[in-house]
Amino acid sequence: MTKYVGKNIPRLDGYDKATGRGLYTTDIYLPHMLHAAVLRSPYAHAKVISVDVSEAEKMEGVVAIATKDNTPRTYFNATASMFLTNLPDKPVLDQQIFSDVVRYIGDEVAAVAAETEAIAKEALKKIKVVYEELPAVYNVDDAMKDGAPQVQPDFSPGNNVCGGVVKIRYGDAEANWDKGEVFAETKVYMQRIKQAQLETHGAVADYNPKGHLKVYSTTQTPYPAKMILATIFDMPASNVHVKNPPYVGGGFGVRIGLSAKAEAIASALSILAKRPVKYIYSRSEDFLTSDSRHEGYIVSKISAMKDGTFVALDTRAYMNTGAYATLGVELAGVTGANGTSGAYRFPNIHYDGYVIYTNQETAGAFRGFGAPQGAFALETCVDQLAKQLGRDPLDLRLQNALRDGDEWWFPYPITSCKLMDCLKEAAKSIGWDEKRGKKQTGTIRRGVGIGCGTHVSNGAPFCLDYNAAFMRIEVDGSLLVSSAVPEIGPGSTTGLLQIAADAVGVPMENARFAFGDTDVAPFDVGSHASRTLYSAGYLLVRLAVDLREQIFEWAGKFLDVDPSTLDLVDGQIVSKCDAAEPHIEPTPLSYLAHQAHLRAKQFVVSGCKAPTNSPPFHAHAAEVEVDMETGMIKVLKLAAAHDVGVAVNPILVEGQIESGLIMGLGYALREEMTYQEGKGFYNDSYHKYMLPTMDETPEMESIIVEGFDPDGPFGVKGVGECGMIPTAPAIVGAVEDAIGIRFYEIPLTPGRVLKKIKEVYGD
Amino acid sequence: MKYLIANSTTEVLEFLKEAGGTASILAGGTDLVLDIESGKKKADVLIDVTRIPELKKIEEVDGFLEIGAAATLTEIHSHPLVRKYFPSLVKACKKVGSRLIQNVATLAGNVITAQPAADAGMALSVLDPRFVLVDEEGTRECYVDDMYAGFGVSTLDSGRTLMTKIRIPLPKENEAASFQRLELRKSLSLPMLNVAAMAAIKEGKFEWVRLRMAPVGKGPVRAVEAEEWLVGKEVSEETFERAGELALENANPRSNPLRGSKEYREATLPVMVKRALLEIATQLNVMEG
Amino acid sequence: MKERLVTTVNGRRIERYVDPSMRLVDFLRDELLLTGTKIGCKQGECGACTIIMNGTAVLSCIMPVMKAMDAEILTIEGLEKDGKLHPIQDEFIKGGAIQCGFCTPGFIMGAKALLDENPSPTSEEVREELSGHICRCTGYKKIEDAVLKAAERLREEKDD
Repeated sequence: MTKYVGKNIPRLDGYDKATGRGLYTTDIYLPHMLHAAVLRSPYAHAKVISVDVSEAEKMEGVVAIATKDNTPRTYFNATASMFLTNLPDKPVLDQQIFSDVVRYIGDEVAAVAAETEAIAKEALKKIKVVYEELPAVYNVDDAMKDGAPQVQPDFSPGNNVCGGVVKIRYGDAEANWDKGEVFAETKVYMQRIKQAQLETHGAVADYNPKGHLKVYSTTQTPYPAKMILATIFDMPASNVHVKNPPYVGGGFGVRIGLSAKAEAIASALSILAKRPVKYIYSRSEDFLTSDSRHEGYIVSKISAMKDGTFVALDTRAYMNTGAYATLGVELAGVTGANGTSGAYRFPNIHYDGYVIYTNQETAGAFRGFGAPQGAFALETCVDQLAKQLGRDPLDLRLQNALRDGDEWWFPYPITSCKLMDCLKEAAKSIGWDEKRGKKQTGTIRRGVGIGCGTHVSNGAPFCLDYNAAFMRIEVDGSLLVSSAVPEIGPGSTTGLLQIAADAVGVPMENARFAFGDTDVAPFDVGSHASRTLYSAGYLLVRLAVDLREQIFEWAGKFLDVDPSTLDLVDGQIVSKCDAAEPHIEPTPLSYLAHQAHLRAKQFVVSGCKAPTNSPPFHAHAAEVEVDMETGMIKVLKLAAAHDVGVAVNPILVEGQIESGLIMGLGYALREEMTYQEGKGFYNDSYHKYMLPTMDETPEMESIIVEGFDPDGPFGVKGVGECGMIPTAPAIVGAVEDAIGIRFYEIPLTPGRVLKKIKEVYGD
Repeated sequence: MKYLIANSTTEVLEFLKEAGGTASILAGGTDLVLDIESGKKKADVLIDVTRIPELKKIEEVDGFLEIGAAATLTEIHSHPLVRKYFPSLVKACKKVGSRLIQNVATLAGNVITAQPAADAGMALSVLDPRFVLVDEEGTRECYVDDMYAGFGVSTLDSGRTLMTKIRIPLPKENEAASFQRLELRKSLSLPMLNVAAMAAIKEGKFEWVRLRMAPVGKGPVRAVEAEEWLVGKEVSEETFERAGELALENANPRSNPLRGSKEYREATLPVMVKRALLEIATQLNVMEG
Repeated sequence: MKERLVTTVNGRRIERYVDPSMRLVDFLRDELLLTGTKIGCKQGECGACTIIMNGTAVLSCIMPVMKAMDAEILTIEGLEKDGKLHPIQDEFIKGGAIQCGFCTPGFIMGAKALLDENPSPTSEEVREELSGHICRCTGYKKIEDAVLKAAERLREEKDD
């Protein structure tokens, strides 16, 4: 029996956040602090011939100006991949703080630190830059042509393919292809979208000329950020301290590693100025100059038997990764692994992923990490196959869905799988049997659709994944857990303390979690890949075993009993239920810890663990309404059923699911970054970027399908990204059910929809 | 920059004169503050007119509803008189930005910023409003078509002239107005298209119709052809459809990277016109919605 | 040139000389260090900077500081009374309406203004009235539920 795991414990950071006391990077004000502004390229591709700062330097209040001429030229990768890429692969290091070539509109050219932000911005206008424009390329197909402009000639000689083609082979798709009797093929196109987290990227860097660099920042991975900064500035990593203040206003993948370049630029300026420097991205900078979701297209082919059994899958993905690699290469792996292969029994898989450089804003990690694109491709193809076979799409999915004990291509097993239940529950919630396939007429038409998928509980085996942490009992018997995991919003730190309190056997009121700081704890990968609760929890339950052992050993001596008969329950040392009589008087841990302290002993453990991985499963269903005269689509309801193993804190789990549902709705219908040649992306603000507002939310039902994963701490699996994955497939399927038109391109903006309606139905 | 808080209309005129054209009148400031920062507009002196009691009034005077130029959109859309007489104006005021914007932005500002798709200004445009303007030379009244000089450009110079109120004739029993909006998002977004209409219906026929649409040109554009054709026509689905097609003759929408292509706007404008006319017919119980 | 500003923030009278081109949010954050009010866009498009001025929820990021002259301002820091959370704050915490928390202060202030004006809003009214607040984390559902629950509690408190 757990006391906390499984309960809706109110978030521990709720008070800080609801009262405005909680600090974020933007709330850090240090004595003598300067403010920064950045000069960015107006060209999509150009050589930077010279940067003349002489006029700007003369301005009163300007303290330092950083350019390619006075900052390190070290090549780096601004994301975690720089330190987490698996051997023998090497991360692509193609970024510099400022470089001789600008590769997209918005690329960094110079930065100013001044007494006020207004002065810094004014100074930018006085910096004279001479550019030599180069030919540019903006999409995957053009970039792959012979003779295309080379975005990163040093890193993709001749072909703009970033990091090489990502290949997944399982079984033998080629040899077995013709064993199938029915073949479906679809090509889908997906747009670029933005994370648009509420807090823009930011950093406050404080360089001490004795060689210590302290950086407050919005990173969602403090350790990788620290290691990247140490590399860029050629400093011992032990002299670089990165911390969240402790809160981060949303992540969604966009600040894995550095927060765009906020930390690097603030640090470069602080080193030059020898004063603290604060650099907070404007909303427009955040939209236009940090990682986004990859746009691109995917061709999927399924070979199946007439009875619907899947035989083989063949997929080719072409993704626009923009000007720099960041996490593009790793992402293409996940697109193939989790996305395009989905949660089905495919005995044979062939996947090729092409990540292509272009002269656009970089694309990188974004909730789902390539899986939403892959899932949209695969689920479209499965729906197509169902149509060819004359089968109900739900039925076909149930037939081929993965289940417990199945073999699959991943190097780790399916430890628990309730996908069938997810599919059934989602379908039931949406009213599948009553609503699907009902002929619609008139101006407003309704339909239902379904999609499903799987994801990960951490980054392994695609990248290195492990945690180290401390756990200690304070002198008064309270528990302090120190781990460098960040809290970017999901409530991971609350869930982890629930796990720790249960695992150690102490009341949560007497427990605290210190987090988000590289000085308070040893290495942690950070928050990404739906990993934090699963992976850090994996370590904490093991540390709890060590800690209890240490407590029992000392208590045994102190109380003169056999340590193996002792238990720690709710902060009291007691005899185990099954221990031989006589049982000891319950002894408060507070008393014991104090007595231990007086005898020169504190209960402290540390450790380090790499977790295994446990796939979560999920199915989403949607009901939509289409206006045949305007092409407007309204989502009436979204139902999501998720197998997340055990839900440590159900209300927080629902929060993750609902969050993903609404983000997925935006992906399916509205959100889109639109490029205008010569100007860059049009969408530089919330009013030009159609993410859903509160009045756009449909009815939602999130269903947690009870499960238990044997590898997960207390049976837990990942959940953070899952809600984003099958939402678009469910919505697009529902639209087809409503109006008989299948869309192969998202988002389903009214213009796109009406055009098709007119093509099919006439005016 | 200097910031002056005016307590009366007379004071505003004094401040304006003193500044000699370098001032700008400020009400909600939801656009002006950003425009000044981006350099789109210049002002050395801001004259805050939101504390002048007479500019905040909303009242019925001699067959007109008078809305003070400093009344916020929220004050307008929640006012019982506006709700009683002009539901379409209520609907449109609630479409400007978000409630947080409506709490400070004004209807007068929505007209003076002269953005073609400004929802409140659009709904207002078919209500035959009179704009009361005051400057050094005295007081005068202007009509809708006097107000718009171009895309985002008003004929009113906020450095010299103060709008004090907007006067709207009260509708007769057989008159009603409507507002339709084609939108990518309900809040925090400009419309792809909006259409406002007002009409009088007698014995199942249109006596007259005022029909405007945006953004299809400068300010709220009149669908003159449709307006003229509709006079005397039976209130019916077919009539609405024909009117929608005729509206295209006065519309010249542009493509926007976000809010719809020219083709899409042209394809849906007749639908919006049809729905606007149906909304009027429904209000007057001539048809079912 | 600086101008004299007299205003009341969270019940405290404040007199300062300010640059009139400053925005109210910068005055609150940089000068008064009331950093609970957040900046998400500085263009009036996200609601993170929402405060209550003379009873009305407003966007402090696009408001000239001088609009605060003689005004009564309430920021998120002024909501907790005698160590007791406002029911809206409490319901946000209990109901999972907070994730990253960056939109939270603005959302709570917007919700307070709404419930002060309309103590019994429908779900639809909550959604419509608060749609100027962007949240990218929660999917909004738990926020809507928390506001409705707080409304219920506030009505009960009033009845008692």
